[in-house]
Amino acid sequence: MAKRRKLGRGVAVVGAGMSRFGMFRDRDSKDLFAEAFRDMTASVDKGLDPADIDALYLGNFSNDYFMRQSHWGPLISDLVGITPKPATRTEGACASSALAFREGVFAIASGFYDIVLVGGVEEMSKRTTEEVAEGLALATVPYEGKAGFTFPGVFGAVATAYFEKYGAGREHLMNVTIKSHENAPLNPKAQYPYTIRDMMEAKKASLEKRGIPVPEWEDEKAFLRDSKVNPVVAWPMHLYDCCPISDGASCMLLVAEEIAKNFTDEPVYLAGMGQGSGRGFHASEALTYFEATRYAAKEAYGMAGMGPEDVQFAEVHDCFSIAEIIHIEDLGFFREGEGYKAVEEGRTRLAGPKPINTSGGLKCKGHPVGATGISQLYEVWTQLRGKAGARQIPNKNLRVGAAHNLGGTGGTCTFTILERR
Amino acid sequence: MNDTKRWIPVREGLWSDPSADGGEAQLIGSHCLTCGELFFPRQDSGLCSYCQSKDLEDIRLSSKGKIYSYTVVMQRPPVYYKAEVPYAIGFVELPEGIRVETLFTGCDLEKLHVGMDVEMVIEKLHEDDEGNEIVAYKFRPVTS
Repeated sequence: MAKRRKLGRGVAVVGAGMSRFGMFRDRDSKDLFAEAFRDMTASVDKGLDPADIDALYLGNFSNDYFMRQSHWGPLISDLVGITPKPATRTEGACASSALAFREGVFAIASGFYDIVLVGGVEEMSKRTTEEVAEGLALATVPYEGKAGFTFPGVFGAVATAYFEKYGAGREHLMNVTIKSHENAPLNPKAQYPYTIRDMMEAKKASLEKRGIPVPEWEDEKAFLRDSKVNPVVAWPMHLYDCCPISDGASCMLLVAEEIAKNFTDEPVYLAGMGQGSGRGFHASEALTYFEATRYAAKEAYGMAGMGPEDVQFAEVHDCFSIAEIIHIEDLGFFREGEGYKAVEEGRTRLAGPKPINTSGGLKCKGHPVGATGISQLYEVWTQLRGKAGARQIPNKNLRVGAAHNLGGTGGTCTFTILERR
Repeated sequence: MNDTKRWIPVREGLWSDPSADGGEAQLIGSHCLTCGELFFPRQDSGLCSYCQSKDLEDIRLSSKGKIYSYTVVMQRPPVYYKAEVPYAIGFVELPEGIRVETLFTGCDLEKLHVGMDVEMVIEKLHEDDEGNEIVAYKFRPVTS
């Protein structure tokens, strides 16, 4: 049973920013972080003097591998002009920057620092897809690569187990994809800001232009069922069930609660946070949930004095479509085995009762792994402040939102609840 | 035939060598005598990665089990994997109560299903540059 956690003193978020996510031939990690930092600085209502920042915590999974360069903490503190203030890198695979956020919280809650910059960065697209997959495989067991075990493969097996247990099918995965792509065009930072219908029409136009017969796709699902446009990666995971390879950066400014009003009249406060670790699949009772997510959720809800019903919307780690269905169950938003039905009924859409991944999720927004955790919190912060523009959740009483970040195949999971008071 | 051609296991110590000790090849796992945890592959460090006990014994795992879950991979994975595509991988549950990650073989990939009875075989994965056969354990449907 998780203990009830509490902070030594409260922590507020008073600024947040992210770069555009995408595959950038001509932009590097520093350039992307600089964009995120400028975006964050501009979001601090009463202004920020970077000289006031006490420390930096930076999430990065594997730029060592992707860019042949490690030690990103001081490279970034130099970039944003805060040396000789301390810079510390955190690593937890795809949850690396959620861990940076937590370290920033601990540092402030302990009373040691008052103003902390937390962020994340990853630059993946300069490598081939094969090399990226090899780099990501660093988060798994060494010999497995030779025997053909891949991330899509593992999540394919997770989906098969889920289908078998609860009677869901491939069409239910498509509902997740279609929903995420509905939100994406409303997010100017997204890597793929297109609906599935947009892509279907674009494909038709391109085929017509080249004089190739255009298939009669009657709707989005027919388009997704066409293996020419949506080939199988690892059954039942198709191309449109998998998040892309991305470059990007994100950051946030955390301050002690008592000084939050020096920065903005509308701070967002940390209500609860939890983190769990998980064992290999050999030891899991089932492949249909992540124990580490459930632990992280219990810790966060306990600390916040809230339950899943209090969280009005969330960003969850949809590295694969099946993962989104499992997370919304693990986080208690929907009953075990019923997540796929909730998506089908439209409950997780932008205008639904529990909007999930209003940013477009990893699938459409992009997944520069080390930047993802804080980019999710950026979305929650933006929604809570009513600044999400066209993708603003149509609920005037938006008060509580949360972000769930997952590393590897559930080895590291975090859940963070933010609130407006 | 090249007479220097050899069979090389994808990793040493995954299964028992029938030519050395007779009988059939069996997967080798570790059993922790302190906490009871089972592992596959065996813990080469000699340490239980759950309770840190050094009191581990090698165990021969059952060669028959049931498919817990699977997937058919259609896209060529990273550089390490050199065998054919598509291929099937997944998890087999053994009677000892441990789940083993494995490749599947010996049947139409479309016929695989959860709960299917399968047995372990040692089979070629791919050939290396010298023409040696790199071999791995796989599971195939029980025919009889």
